[in-house]
Amino acid sequence: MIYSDGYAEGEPRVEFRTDVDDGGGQGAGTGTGRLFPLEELYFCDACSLVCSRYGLTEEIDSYYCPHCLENMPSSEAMLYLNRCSKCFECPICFNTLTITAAHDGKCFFSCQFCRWSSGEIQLEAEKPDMLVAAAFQKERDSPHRTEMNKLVETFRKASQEITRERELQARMRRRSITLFLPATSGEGSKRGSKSGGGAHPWVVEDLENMLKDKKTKLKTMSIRTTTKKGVRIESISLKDLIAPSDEKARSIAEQLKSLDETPTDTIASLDQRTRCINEEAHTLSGLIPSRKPLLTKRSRRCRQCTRYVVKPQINPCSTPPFQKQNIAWLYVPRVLLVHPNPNEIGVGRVMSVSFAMYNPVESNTTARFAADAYNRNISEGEEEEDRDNNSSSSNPFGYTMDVLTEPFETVIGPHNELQDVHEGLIEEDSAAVPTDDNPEIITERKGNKIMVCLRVKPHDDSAGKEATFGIPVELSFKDRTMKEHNTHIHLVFTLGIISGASE
Amino acid sequence: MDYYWSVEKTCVVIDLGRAFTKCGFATEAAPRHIFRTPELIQEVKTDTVTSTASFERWVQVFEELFKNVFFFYLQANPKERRVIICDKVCSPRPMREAISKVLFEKLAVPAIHFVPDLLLPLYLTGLSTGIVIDCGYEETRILPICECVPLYSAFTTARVGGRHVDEKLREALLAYAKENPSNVKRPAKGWAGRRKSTPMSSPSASQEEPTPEAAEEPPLTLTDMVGSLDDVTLEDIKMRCCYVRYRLADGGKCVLETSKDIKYPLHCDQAIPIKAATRWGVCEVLWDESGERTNIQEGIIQMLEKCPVDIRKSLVQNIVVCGGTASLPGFLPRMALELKMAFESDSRLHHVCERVEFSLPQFPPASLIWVGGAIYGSMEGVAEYSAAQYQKGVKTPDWAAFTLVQQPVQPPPSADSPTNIGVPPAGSGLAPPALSSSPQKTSSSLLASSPAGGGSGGLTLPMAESPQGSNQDSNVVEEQEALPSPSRSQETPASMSVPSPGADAAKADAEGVGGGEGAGAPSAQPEAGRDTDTGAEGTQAAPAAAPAPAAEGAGRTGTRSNIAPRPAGAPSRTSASTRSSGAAAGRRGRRDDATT
Amino acid sequence: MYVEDPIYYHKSEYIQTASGNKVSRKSVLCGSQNIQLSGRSIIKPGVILRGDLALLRIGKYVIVGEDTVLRPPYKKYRGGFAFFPMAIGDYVTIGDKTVVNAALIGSYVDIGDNCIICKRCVIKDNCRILPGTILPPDTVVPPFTVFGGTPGRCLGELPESVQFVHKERANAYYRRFVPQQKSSRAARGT
Repeated sequence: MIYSDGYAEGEPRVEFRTDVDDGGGQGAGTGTGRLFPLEELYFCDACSLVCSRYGLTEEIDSYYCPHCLENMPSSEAMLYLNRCSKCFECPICFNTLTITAAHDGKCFFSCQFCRWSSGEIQLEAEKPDMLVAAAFQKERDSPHRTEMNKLVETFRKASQEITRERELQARMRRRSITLFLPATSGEGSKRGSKSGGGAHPWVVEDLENMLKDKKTKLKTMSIRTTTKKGVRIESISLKDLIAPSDEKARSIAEQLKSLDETPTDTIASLDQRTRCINEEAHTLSGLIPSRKPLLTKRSRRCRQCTRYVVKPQINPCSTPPFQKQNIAWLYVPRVLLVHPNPNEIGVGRVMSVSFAMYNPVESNTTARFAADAYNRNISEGEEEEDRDNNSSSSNPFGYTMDVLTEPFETVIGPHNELQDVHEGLIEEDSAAVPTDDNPEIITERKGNKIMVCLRVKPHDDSAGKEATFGIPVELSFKDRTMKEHNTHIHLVFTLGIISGASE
Repeated sequence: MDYYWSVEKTCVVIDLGRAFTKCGFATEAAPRHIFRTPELIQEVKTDTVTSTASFERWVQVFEELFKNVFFFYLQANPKERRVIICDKVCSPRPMREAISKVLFEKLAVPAIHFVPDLLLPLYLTGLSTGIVIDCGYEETRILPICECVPLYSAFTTARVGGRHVDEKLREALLAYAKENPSNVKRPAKGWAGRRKSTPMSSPSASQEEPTPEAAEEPPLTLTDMVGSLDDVTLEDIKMRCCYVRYRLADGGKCVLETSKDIKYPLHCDQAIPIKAATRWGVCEVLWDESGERTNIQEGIIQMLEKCPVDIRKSLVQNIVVCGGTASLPGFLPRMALELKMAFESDSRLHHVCERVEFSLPQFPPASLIWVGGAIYGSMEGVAEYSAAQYQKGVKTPDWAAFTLVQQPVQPPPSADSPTNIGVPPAGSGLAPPALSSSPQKTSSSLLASSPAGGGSGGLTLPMAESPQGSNQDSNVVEEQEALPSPSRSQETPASMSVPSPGADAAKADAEGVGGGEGAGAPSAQPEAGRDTDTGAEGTQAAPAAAPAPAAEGAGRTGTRSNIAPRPAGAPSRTSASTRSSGAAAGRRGRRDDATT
Repeated sequence: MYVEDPIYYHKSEYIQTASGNKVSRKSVLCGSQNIQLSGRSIIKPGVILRGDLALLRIGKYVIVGEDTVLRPPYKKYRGGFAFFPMAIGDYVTIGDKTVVNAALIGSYVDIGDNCIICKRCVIKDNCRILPGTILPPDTVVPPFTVFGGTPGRCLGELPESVQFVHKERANAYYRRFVPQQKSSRAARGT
């Protein structure tokens, strides 16, 4: 699960819209797509495609324990139920347990955080490895497991029988379709006709007998006598349950009563119960340590060319951590917003939005901004009604602002690795890029950075909504191998909450 | 039909509960992980099949959910795992379709099984008849199942569940806090921050930072603290402090009602005082008799009244209670008490009272449905909705498809006179055959095993066969093989039962289901009928249909017409099953004849 | 996410070393011969570095927030304590009011404010500790994970780009952290 902080409503930010369903049928798209920060995007260098994790297929490469960081082969991981074979978690606070030796030489698990000790549940041993084995045994002894095995065995057998039966009949029938029919019903005269259905006189006695049989059975028999072999489920009748004399009822009542007597802080919380293998434990004393769940290393492939986009090293701690790591961060210009003044965002007010773009590649990147692509009123000559109709098609993403700046194209200078290292020492060579910028739009240019200023205006009916607008950008650049890429991204700016009518 | 006979890698079982989602692997005794269900799924209501959320939204939610389930929780490669979805009875169609889309297109699983969740706990009882009561978060759902056939016409929901207890709890705590105003210690500053990790991640914040707070903050009152409790904490208070009060008749020892006030420890030094009366008082809402909402015992009575008279006695012999709310201490005894009272006040149901028996499976109630799914997943030959089918454009199975009985053996409706089919005489004492007599016949004709074995085996089948019922590309199958004749005849009963008196609502259902068969209903749209759209209609109609047959006779008719179509879906599924049910089909044919 | 405004400090409050470290005069460096700063690190006011206990190796572009304590871990043996060195990799940011007793902190790590990293913890490369986390002794934080809560546990994973993101953040912070220009805003952190 990718951890993400999320954004507060109206928090100013720039995101990238990906996975928009363009009808290409690649399976990655979902309607209006999703928004991601650049950090979470990938770049398939074979298809020159910017996509999110949902646009890639995922595969588990290896398993490892987050505590001892040891790799576990997948077969072994399956055997150990995707949990580490050595590390255990505290049942109370889920911290990793340490094995401690007491003065009498006995080993037990202890939690360095909440001071829980496995002595409390009589889990002690002479030696550390015996302790681990004992903990394993505790896990295995769960009554659920035995019960489940019985049930599974029974039902599997039954299903196998039915399957066999069915196959057998199918085979026989293939030989002779009528084999089963004549015995009971006579030849189906209309067999094969679609509408009629078989029209046969049915034998009343058959039916009557059957029903009579059933009737008597229903009256006399408890349905429990028909329980499957091998499955015996405890049950209690209503009468017994509420009769205080019944032993079972009394034991249930006493159990409940004793629960009630226990102080709150020894009753397991929901979290503790759900995380414990021994799920139904009600009190802390019923919880047993569980083994540490494993983590995985996963690779990602492009859905279109099925080539790896991300391929990790097997060892979780190796450096560099990846064999292949095509993340968008290394290809697509980073966009940083100049924090907008929230007071400026108001209905009917034209405001300017400035942002910086940093080119991460070592070649010039050409960026073509289709600034007005999603404006609500594209052609001003249109009549009001038409505009209404068009609004949904030209603005499928529900943006609340129009971009007044015309579409434009610019070049962002190359990234220089040395800049990072000897910052300020190297004079940026800005001659390499054309300087015929429109100073209204490109307000500043330095090395691999440009500052862009756009003029935007909220829609008239958007008061109280998040101020958002989107700009599709086409990028062309060369990567390290001098391969040329043409790709497009869709920037989504969120500026804040639009205040009501101005003036 | 691709079957995955060799179950090398066990299936993944996912139970999308209202409050918690459980996921794990088949044949295991407990779900591997239990986590909170994403909000959108929580919004789905049981009584409406429609959902406000768009298909795209569903896809996004499920894509995230299933990615997490596979890669984070279960850590299994989806390509090699079939998936069992324990499906709500009336989950919205877009949701179901989104599940298929995500699992097949994004995760490339080989097959999905949609299994109606309320059937699953029955596996744990080893019986094929019973009542499943799922006391969940949003409401309590009650479904009778007779010989593997879920009686959806009698499906009842009671509007009480964990959420209502939570609400009461919040009210009670607030009321107490207001009565006893007091101040509590503020939690230590600074340990609660969540967003913004480092000085540099929020430059803007760091500039105008200096925080002059802390000093002159008003003292935190108990009311404020209680008011700010989040749902998760509230639920935890419920689980740890609350219980269902009960007092057995003799007033003696078996009483669960203390006078102990306790404190629920919150953060480091804080604690919420909880009065003794609050501890049991909040759960009383489950048995609330104010008439504000249907309570659990009323729900059960209503359900039984909708059931045919004859089977009530067998149904009540096996009551399984599942769902998170049912794990509150004292729930079961209290329910028994309430039920007894309710039965005694109802003259028609008085006699079943002594038959009532509760099954006590070993597993915690909250995961019973999941465990049932895990057993289901361990069985062989269960039918599925495969990737190949999906690609061919076969629509996602509808729940209606599952309700179909497998062995369509179903012989005539009433004992003595074939003409009586439509309305079996009330109180004739005969179980509607479609329900009760099936397993015997089934087992004798189809299964070599004992009737008992047949019964439970049957349970494996209904779900096993039918899903394909409504979507199988039965065109192909039927045209290739000569055998469908009997199967065609089978669906006729569906149409036959439709016109029966007072079952208009049921008709919609029947058509929906029968539609799956294609050749189905007399509606003269043989092929088009198969389209699942019809199935969807059926789905929507069904809940409406359920309450319709109120009167006893009508009730039974409704019941049967809801059930009768089930055979219809079945035959179309696999050629294998069609063949196997040949004998049965023949009989059915005769029955048709008789009817006409 | 935002274009970086400079963060000013008063020139007299920080000592800038030849390798670009900026160390606050209000920080306490105990046993400074045992403290190695590789360069371009920022030590803020109120920070205590306990080089007197054992060797403290700190990589480049490490930012240590205000009032944070870095203290080499120890192990109890029969009859006493033994301290052992603490190593911090490159591009690490540590928040304010945090106590770090870890044995090892890898590179590209982000530790939030108000954390307690107990003795002998090992924090691997490319991970993140949320603000307010308490990591009990001997906790291991594997690469590409987010830890949070009390006690800290794995809450999720980080995207593959985290190395670059954390590197850029540390870089940018260092770039923005400049001496006060005349007549500009008051220095921060006084």
